[in-house]
Amino acid sequence: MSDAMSHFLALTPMADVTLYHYLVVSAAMFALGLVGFVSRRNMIVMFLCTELMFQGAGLAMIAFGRRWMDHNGEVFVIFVLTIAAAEAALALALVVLLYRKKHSLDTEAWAQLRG
Amino acid sequence: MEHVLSPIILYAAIAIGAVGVALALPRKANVNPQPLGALIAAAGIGGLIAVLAMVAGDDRPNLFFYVFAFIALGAALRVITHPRPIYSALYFILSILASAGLYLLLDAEFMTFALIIIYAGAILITYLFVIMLATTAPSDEGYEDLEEYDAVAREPVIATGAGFLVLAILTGWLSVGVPHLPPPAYKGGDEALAQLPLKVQQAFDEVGLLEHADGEMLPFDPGSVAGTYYDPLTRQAQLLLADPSRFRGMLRQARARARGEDVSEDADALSPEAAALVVNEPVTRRDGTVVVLVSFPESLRARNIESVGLELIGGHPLTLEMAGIILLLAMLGAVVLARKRIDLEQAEKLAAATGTLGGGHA
Repeated sequence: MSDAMSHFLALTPMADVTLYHYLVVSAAMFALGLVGFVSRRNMIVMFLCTELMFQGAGLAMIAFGRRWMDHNGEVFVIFVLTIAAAEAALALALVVLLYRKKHSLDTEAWAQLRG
Repeated sequence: MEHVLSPIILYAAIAIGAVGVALALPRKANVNPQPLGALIAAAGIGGLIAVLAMVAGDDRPNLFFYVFAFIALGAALRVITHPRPIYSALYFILSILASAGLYLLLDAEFMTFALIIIYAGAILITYLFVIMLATTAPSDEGYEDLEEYDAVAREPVIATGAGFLVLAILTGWLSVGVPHLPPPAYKGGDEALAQLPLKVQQAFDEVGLLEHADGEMLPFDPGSVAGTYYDPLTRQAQLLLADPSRFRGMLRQARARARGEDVSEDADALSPEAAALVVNEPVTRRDGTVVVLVSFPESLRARNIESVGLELIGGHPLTLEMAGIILLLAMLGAVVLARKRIDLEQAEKLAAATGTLGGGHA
């Protein structure tokens, strides 16, 4: 058996410093998504930024799952993916609806809600 | 207190990244600082990761981690700074592909491909459709024809400050907390094997442990091995042989080895690796069945998809059903929200209801 293969087969627990690397990347991705969500004014880009935050959270879950040798982390990411799909469907339907009314994707155009 | 990384270096790198991102956000100005901002942001984040690599020593992740992390974060930066939404969506796909690479490095093969298929393949295509529906096509390469809400970010400084404050707090706390995590209860990733008896038996079959007495290989038959008990912690199985006559060769050798005899002259000798798996002398029980303790072959491991599948279906069945219901309701909600209302006159409604509309005499 080759070395690469045996590395794949014999899963050893991940070092905590390695875990920290992944967590920093996941936190940075979450923060970038947050910055984009707050600062961009186009509704579609705002929803893309929420997906970016989902990605950051998902990476953290997979990294922790690997740290504890537990597959629950991956299962959670499957559910996050499901909710992201549902959220995208509803959000994009709303975007289409709002665009039809005002012909603008600017969130400021909808600053005032009238019942 | 023990830190993974000195807090001064950590917060300095985050501050540099924040300045860069604030400059890189879209704005209308005579001197566009966007490329400079992107460079500073890349320097901040890249510096942070480089310092991390230096402090990690031998524990640092594989080189591909740095490649994928750089692509994922760089693409994420372009998602939030590109003035054209369609390019934001395309950069988001790039970011997803790089995250999928990180998942692969974390031994989550199933999620890697699920992420590419579901996110990059399905969700992002929906986004692209809506962008094409709701955005005018650019007439030229410049950004003059952009809508005002795409060209100018809202409060870039405050937004970046808030976002990077969150990042500083998160990474600062993690830097203190991660070294104090208790060690994992080592499970070796093999718990799933207890629920995969056929896979274990097939593995024994492949090394030739369940070989027939006359040296002839039996086709794999789960019925000949009954009542098997698997212990994934010690990686051993207690095989209960219902029909010991079919395993005479294996049993004879196992007994000979237990007595310390040399079995190498035996014409039907098991291969050395197969014989080495037998742990104890086979025990014949009163009903004629034989119990023998064998260890798992070293190459036998539960695959990632098997572990995830067992965890998903066995551990979270109710959540899985709820996810299905949520998806169904989201689909209904999207249909209800996005349909077009068509206003009909009272007479037309009446005609449509009674089915007399159309047919040439409306």
